[in-house]
Amino acid sequence: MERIRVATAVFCVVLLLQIIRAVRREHIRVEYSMAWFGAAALLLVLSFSASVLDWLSRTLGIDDPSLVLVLIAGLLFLVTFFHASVQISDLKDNNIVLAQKVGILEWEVKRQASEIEGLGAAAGQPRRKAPGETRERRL
Amino acid sequence: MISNGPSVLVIVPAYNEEGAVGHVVKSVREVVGDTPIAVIDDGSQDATAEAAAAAGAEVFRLPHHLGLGGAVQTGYRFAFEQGFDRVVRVDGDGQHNPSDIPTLLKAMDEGGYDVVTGSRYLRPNHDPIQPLRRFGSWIFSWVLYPILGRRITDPTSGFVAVNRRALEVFSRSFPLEYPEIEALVVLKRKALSFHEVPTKMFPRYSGRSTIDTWTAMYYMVRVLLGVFVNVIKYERRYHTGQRG
Repeated sequence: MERIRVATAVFCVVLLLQIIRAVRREHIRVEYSMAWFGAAALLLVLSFSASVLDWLSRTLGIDDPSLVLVLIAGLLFLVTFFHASVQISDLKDNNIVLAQKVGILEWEVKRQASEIEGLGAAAGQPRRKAPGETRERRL
Repeated sequence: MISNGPSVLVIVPAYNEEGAVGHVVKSVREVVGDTPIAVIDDGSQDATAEAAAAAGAEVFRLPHHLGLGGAVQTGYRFAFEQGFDRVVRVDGDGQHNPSDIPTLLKAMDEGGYDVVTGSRYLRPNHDPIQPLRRFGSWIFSWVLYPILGRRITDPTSGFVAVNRRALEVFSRSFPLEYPEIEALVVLKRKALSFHEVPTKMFPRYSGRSTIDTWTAMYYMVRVLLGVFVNVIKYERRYHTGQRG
């Protein structure tokens, strides 16, 4: 077995163990670990499959089957990173909407607190200060 | 003063503008009278929110910094949800002349445009403009020409009035970083009409711009990519309104 295939297999085992450890400790959610599990498992299987690597190298016109392993590893990581970027973009979009709604709701809460305070003052009740109140005008 | 008619909201996006935002709010107030002014504090680390509130504005504090587009869209989202008919955006750094707000709204009324922007280049004998900004405007005008089918003299202008049709579009979909140029492409894609009117621009009231040479270069590349993406954009996600 070529050294690069051994190194790849060892790396994949370590990566799989690391993914399992991260999932167990909830550092990564199960659904987001799927892509990494798949990539590591596929590379591990390929590193033990000389016949598949030989066939791929002949098909792709690459002289050294080990290079096929490196190529596949690179492509897998590119796909995984792209998948992560899509997820990050989705989360960022959601985060923007949330931040905007928090800003609007916070304003609404303060406005209502001011109104309640105004009603209380009109009824002669003790003044109740609105949290963080700074506003002077109302929409 | 703004006459009675469709409801108007003035929005002022501001990030670390404690030195200018109070002046901006007061200047706008002198022009628009009782028209509400909403300052969107984009996660400032200074006393921007306090200065805006002290000047008499409604203040919307974002929990963290979103970028100019995110702050502006907060104002659009709020205005749309609250049923405002028109929104005028005035930047919080004091560069826009509040006296031109009625000009924007008048052009919108008379021309029936969905969006009216203020252009510093349409004024005869306009004030000197930084060469880098002028070069950027020229490049973007050239890039936008085949997309929009017309020449835009000041594509980076943030002095904008939008009507409810445009509010509906922008409250759902608005570029996050350096939004003005991409927003023009969004308008074209949504078949909204827009128009430029001559307006005066001032130097910043206080502080300094965060855009240096490297940022300007990033801006150019980022916006060109954003324009390209907006031209080829897939529409389904927008139409389903998944983003709130």
